[in-house]
Amino acid sequence: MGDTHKTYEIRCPVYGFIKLNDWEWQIISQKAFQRLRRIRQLAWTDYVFPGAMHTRLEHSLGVMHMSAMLYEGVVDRSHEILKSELGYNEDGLRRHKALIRLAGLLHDVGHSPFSHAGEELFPYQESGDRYKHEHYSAEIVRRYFADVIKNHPLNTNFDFSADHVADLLEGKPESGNALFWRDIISGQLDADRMDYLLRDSIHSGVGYGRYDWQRLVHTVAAMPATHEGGPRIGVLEGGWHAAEGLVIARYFMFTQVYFHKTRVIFDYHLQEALSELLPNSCFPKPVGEELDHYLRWDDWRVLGFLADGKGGEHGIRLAERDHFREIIHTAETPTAEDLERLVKWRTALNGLLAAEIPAEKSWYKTGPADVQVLTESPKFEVKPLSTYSSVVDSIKPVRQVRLYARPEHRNDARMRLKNM
Amino acid sequence: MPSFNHFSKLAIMTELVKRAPSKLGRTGLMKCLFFLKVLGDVPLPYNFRLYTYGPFDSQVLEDLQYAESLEAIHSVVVSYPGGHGYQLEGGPRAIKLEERAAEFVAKYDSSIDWVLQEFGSRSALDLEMASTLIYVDRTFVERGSRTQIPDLVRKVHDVKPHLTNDAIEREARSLYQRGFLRAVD
Repeated sequence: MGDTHKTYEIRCPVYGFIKLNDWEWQIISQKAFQRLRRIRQLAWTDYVFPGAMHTRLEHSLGVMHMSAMLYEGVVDRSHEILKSELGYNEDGLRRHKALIRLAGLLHDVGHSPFSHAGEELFPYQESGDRYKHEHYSAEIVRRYFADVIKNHPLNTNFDFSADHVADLLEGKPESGNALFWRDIISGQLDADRMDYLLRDSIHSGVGYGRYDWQRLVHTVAAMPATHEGGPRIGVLEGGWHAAEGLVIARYFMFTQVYFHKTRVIFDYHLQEALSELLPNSCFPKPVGEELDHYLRWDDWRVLGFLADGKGGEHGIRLAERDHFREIIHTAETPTAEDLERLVKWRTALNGLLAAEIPAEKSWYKTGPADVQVLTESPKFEVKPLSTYSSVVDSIKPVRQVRLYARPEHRNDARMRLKNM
Repeated sequence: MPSFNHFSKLAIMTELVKRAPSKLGRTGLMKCLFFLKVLGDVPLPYNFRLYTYGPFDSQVLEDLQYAESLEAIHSVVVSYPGGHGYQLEGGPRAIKLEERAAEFVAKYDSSIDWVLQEFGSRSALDLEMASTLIYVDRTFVERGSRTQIPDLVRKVHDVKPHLTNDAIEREARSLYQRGFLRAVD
């Protein structure tokens, strides 16, 4: 260990500088964290937006930074609720700030190569549900970060173990009242989404995805328990336009970048190529020795295989940028009639339909739009954002479905649909 | 077994809203879907995680928005002490959705009725407490360990310190007597 009281600054295209203490510095120096340098944030998005070459490592630093700003914002404005409804004292608040920073920093260490694009190849649990990258993150934290979390001198006053961080990432009851802060790690106003929208926007070079994050940080607060449920994180009334801006930013980034017709077909080609490359066509489970094998998978390894001509037809398509072509798509929010028409398109394209990509399966969702807003005038009340914002009230989830054909079948496929 | 598709999960959601003995809000719908999956063994494609406000999956709210855009569910703003929220009711095109997922609705018909009979009249706060108790109980089951009511109450109180121990214990004993807690001796 170096000087335990030293602090470090890392340049960041979103925030300027991100400051870390020696504990966090030692954590990012671990091999399992440095692996994130070799996992691109947006997979093959650079085939459409050439600047989108950023990695999970810089996003993870950004989430830690944003988590801390949100945490401080809530504490500044909600001391009374935190004390009366969640049982906090000053020591507890200091302790959980350190925990939230670690959870933000480590929340993505479980990502597969090319981030979410590989998640369709995660194995199934006994329950029948597919593992998610959060399961991998939690197990990697427990296995590979236990020593650096537990034994760093800056942990002396906190006495955190790797389980404290992993339990919070997984939403386990053992986290106790720290679960309140889970909204910051994974919720409607979370640091993850707030960071990736800004970061992906900058790197993609698009004008979408920006919103007034400083205003949100300065209006975020704890909402008291109401008739509709326990305390949660929302915004003060003065911040509702900023919250509305975030919802709109999500919508635009989804429609213009994340669910771009060419971007998503590269995710499909990657999944198919990985299916060829992986033993049994799926990643190792996040248990026992299999986790060691899992960590050996990163973008570099996959790119090496693809450079050697492996990965089957789809590996070649990725290498040569010879992707399937979109033939037709539904409306952004299809009606029941639109979905009936989709069934007819599938039938008409029989034999020519190469892939079908539904927005519903995308990891990058527009998501439910509502957050809670606390008004103080004429009396203290909690209201959903959609009661303030007509934009949020009328925004609909994107459930578009895109149909693709092989390049050589594109014209035939379009002709069939034209003749319907 | 038929798998869940676009319509089937929305149809189940719509049925819960339509049949509820008193109108469900968003929290009530979220928790009833949780009960349906965990107690009713309906294989809903939701991945509930624990928050201070109980088991939650944002996908439920996104599906609800979609059901509203299809006019299968309609929501109305209502005020209550301390704030405003939404009450849900069947929309003019609910029947269309049910027709498209008739097989599913029929298959899980009795489970829907059962969940609503057990929980459909309770307040959002009660449902939050009951669902958190069941969620924590199932984490013991997953680990293969046993517990007792005082320990379960303590764990839930740690997560939800705004609730009293007495209230949590009353709910825990009620759930235990009804056979909903599997890890409790």
